[in-house]
Amino acid sequence: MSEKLSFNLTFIVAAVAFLALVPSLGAGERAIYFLSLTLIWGLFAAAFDLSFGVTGLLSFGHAALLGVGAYVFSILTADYGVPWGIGLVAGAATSGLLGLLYGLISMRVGGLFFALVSLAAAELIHILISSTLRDITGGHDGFPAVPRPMIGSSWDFYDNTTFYYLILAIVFVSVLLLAILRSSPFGRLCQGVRLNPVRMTHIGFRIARIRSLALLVSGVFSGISGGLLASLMMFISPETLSWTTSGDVLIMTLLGGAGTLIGPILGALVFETMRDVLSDLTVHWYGLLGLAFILCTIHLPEGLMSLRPGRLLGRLFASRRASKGELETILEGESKWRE
Amino acid sequence: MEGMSCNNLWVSYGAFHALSDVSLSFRPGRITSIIGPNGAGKTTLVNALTGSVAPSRGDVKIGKRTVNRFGPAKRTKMGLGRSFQTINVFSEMSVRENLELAAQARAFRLQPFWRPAQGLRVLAELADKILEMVGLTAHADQTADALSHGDQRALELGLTLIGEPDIVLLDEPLAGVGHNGIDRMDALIRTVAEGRTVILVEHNMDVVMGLSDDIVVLAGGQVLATGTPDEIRANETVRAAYLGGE
Repeated sequence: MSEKLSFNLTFIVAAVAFLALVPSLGAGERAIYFLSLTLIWGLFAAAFDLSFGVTGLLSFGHAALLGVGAYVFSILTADYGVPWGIGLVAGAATSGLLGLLYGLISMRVGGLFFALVSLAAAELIHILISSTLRDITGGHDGFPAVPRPMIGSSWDFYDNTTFYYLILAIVFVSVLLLAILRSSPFGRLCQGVRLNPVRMTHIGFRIARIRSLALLVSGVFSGISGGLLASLMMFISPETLSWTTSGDVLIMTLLGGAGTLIGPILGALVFETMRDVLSDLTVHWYGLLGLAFILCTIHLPEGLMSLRPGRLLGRLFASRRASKGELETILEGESKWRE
Repeated sequence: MEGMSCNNLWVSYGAFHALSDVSLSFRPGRITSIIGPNGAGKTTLVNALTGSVAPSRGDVKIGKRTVNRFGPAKRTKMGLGRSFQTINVFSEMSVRENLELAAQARAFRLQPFWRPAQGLRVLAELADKILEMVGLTAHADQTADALSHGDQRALELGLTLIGEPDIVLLDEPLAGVGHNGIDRMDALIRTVAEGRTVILVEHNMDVVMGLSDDIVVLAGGQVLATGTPDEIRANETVRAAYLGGE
């Protein structure tokens, strides 16, 4: 049941080592931008999974955690000249507090009702940002000129490749922290809350606290994703807070494998690849993506992570052994019949 | 060691009274069984004692402290452990993980979030102790839902005991256990009862009569009789209403 920390760490280090080499392998500007975007969505999906896959809280309001982090970061850095790093931390902290607010909601309602209330909360924030607070946020037109960091004169983060390395480093550290947290006693408590909240209460745990803490942490990492997204695109719009973003992150998570750290990141990669490829072919790309998602849920209900290379090879050899064994039984039976 | 009591306890759902004016005292160090036909209010009483159901009127006390306003988690911290009528374990986790998770409630205040839960010595030691007590050491690495029903019952009991409660409330611990498993559970309950206050809800009369120091008979949400097993056996009202006369 418990995720193997060693497996997650090996995967993370190997993936980061490979991704660090990608620019030197001759990847073009578009590929680098695509990978940067995928890394950010991957971190967001991993943060979402802490709430959904690990703790069992299905939130349809995670777009607000991403969006609020993005807006707080953008406003502080662009309008108030706050340094990039401090802006990112402030955005993450605000999203964390919003996550905690979701946690307070989860004390009162659970299951589908929590999903609906979080959706309503996110839509409320969406309206606030797109109309009520338009003097600060830019309203429906979005918030332009979001800066990238300025560190000395030798680092030009307006170059997408240089900024890619910074995103890779931040996502690496964030995913590493999430991996450690998931394997920690706290991670096990979150699993317990998902599997059997009644028993958890009768063991003596206050599940409302555990849920709130999980949503706070999920909010912090969602906020980091939001800040990075705004900085990468140098723009943020209220569409980021739309319910479709919450739907997208759910699809990424389920596609890759909920309840695993690597799965949602893998799901984000597949999702972004399909979005990139299919949107070049047709304006109805979202429909095709939906079709792929339906096929995946039917044939791979546990997501792509159920196709682990080790497990796949195991299955393959098992079926070969079975076929060989079956063949021997048939031949044996046939020779007996001949006798 | 603490006892538990309830005074003039009512649990009502609209006009229906699941419990009516129930006053009971569960004395420290004794096994008190609650018996009664289906619908007598046994599970409602258990739920009211553990905090899963709020009483409409009356008090529930742990020792001398009224705990009406406390939920199950707080009552557990105060030394009340509960096992469930239906198997209520973490089915996807291994037996050891189940117990280590439960042990966290006792072992930590500030949790070491930077260390993997697997392999933390303080948890492993607590889990090992309970594994041995409930006889599941050989199945420690097995997933809980792969255990036999009897072993799941033992795990259920293990989860209740790992917090070292003073008062243990066992809700039909023999439900679904086959003939071979009954002796094992009987022995396990006797072990559990050493130095504890035990409240047992059970249908198996042989086990109840053999184990109990005191028996409470419920019928229609009210206390029909209380007494020692011999007194209950001899009670004409109980014989007529529940044990079937003779």
